[in-house]
Amino acid sequence: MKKLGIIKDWIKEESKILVLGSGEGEILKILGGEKKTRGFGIDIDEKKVFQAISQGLSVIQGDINSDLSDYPKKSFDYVIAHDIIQIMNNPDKTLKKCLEIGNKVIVSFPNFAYIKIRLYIMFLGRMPKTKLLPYEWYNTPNIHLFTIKDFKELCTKEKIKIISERFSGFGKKEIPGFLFPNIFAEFAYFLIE
Amino acid sequence: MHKKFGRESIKNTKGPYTNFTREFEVESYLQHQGESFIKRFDANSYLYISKAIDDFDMTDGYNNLSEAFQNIRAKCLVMSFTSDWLYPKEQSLQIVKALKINGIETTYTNFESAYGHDSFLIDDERLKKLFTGFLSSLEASSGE
Repeated sequence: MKKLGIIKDWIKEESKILVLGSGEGEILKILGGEKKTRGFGIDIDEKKVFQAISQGLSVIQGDINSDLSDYPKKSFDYVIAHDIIQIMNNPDKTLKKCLEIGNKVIVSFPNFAYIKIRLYIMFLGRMPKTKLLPYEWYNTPNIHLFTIKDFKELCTKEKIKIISERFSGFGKKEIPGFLFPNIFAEFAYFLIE
Repeated sequence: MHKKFGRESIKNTKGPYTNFTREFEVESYLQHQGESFIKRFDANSYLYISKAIDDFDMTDGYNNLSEAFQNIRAKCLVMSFTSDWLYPKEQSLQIVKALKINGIETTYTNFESAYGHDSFLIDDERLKKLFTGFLSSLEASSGE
């Protein structure tokens, strides 16, 4: 399962954040309240943006695939890409853009090498459907599914520094890093710069 | 636009074209606005206002829009309406871009509405909620 708690742990009080795919503003609201962050969200969905603005949150209706380049370099302490890079058109390019405009970037994603997914494909021979990946193959927004190993490989290739990594799986439990996260973690969190 | 006017005819006549009075809803609308406006304003004032609007340039005296915005110290709300042909969202996005370049806290939405350029005049519950939310965020930040 996804745990916002891990993201909260990484964020210093009163920092400036940008939340990609901010939806109705849940993360902005929680971090604004508990960590006194200032910041914006960006989301493409008019109805969700409406909900967020109605709650007094600063959100820009826009496309994360194309609209990140207008911000000055290092204008945020953290750029938060929570459960979203798998739906980006070009995750590598957008990730680099995030690292340009933010000092640090928090990336979280569902691990496609999670044991349940491995077993699902192995025994059922079909694209897996789980709580975190509830779509059919033909209507899923998750166009770039990948694993923890894949992500680390990208970081090495692009010379991205991993500051911290944490994992969760089996309900809401956090999984220690030595416990083969690429098999047992359902969801991964990376703090990079 | 289509919802408001479409090709609704106010008469049921089809050519030959012998008179050039109002035939379509949109013509009737424009005629009505024209008639009611000249009762309230001097028609000449419209000539001046139109000219002034045409001449207005937000970047006047600056090199570009982001330079023009550099002294803004406020939180900004920018809105466009999906059906507004007079001020399409691309122009609002230029404003948003210039605000972003200056690091100004900006909120933007392309508001879903069927009433075109007049959308902002319509008494709309969603619109009210949006403004209330934005204004309450200003109160919260000035109270700090």
